Amino acid sequence: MQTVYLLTLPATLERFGNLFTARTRRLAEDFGSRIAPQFAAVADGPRTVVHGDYRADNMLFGGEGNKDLAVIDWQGFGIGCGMYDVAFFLGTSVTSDVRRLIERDALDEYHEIVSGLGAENYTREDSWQSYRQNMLSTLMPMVIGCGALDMSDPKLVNQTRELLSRVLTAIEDLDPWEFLPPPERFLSRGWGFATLSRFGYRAYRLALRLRPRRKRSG
Amino acid sequence: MDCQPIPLITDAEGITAEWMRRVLASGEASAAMEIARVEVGRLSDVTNALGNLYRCRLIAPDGGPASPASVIVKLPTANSLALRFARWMSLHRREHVFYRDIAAQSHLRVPALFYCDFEPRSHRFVLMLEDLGGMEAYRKSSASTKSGRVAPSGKSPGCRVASGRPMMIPHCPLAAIFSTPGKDASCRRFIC
Repeated sequence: MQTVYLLTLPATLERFGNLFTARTRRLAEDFGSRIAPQFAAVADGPRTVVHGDYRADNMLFGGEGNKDLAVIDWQGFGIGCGMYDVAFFLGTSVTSDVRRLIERDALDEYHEIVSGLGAENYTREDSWQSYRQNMLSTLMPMVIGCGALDMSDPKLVNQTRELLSRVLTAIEDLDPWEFLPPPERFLSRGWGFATLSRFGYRAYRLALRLRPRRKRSG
Repeated sequence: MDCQPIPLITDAEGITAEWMRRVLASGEASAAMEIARVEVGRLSDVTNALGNLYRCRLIAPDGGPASPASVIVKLPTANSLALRFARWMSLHRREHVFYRDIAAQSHLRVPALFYCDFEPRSHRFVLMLEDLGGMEAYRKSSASTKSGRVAPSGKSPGCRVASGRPMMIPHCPLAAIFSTPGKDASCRRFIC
């Protein structure tokens, strides 16, 4: 996943680079070689079934006055931290203004219900920290999707731009830099993998930069 | 009894009355199904870069609606880049596993599965699901008021999304499974 992320990051920055601030761009680059430890850290806690793409576009609603909700498109399904879905939903599916207005209350309510359903040793603060940590994780599907998918459909481009913009704003707001795992120990296995991944990213980024020149010279 | 394996179709051309009859007959509940004709329409208003969704109206021999009257068929996109991406991320396999093994136990409402098939080597797959056409999709334009504030009493999907709450509450039981020590063991076999 780390390699896929780093291979798609240059294309993401080429397509949607204007949505990144210098700080989030740097974070996206640093995050690339630390995805494995980041997800290991998140998965270290209790786990559950996660949808993986839990956003409004993947929901169907009952009509007026009907509270039915159905969730579709389970291709991102896996086992992980349940708060990932919550972060992804609030990061992508409501405007940034609305998210800022509701997230604390929403998280408190979420925590209250989860606790009422039997969650143990799970404090309100745990829930908030997990939310912030998982907001950082949402960078991964966003970058991979933005860089790997065919963006010839303007509707898809607009939708993607909006989602990425919201996620980056949420990351700026929630300041999850503290959750970025430290670099791997020098000469450890993880360090070797991270170094190779970074090297691959830089080579690909260079290839992307050189591509127009080659075309011109051809 | 038809013992021939059901072919894994690759595009909408493969959705025929005969294929539909065999697929539905492979499930226990619909073994007696008779389908004379299938009307296939692409769900073009759904943006899905990785799969194509088709609404299939099933017509009975008497010209009336069959039962089920309509199903949704999901097939992989023909776009080779998107298909490669889906393979990298095991996306079709994940969805296949979810509907086959998890959906029936899910706390969240999901479309009922009629049929699924997946071919690991080519990563081709087909899903046939309940048509939730009576439900509304989310429209971003109604997600918040012009001032950006939430319309608290709104009942439209947009307003419900904007308030966040209705979407998160159904998710809670999922989180509760894992947050309770010892209760996540049953999930582990689904890791993919």
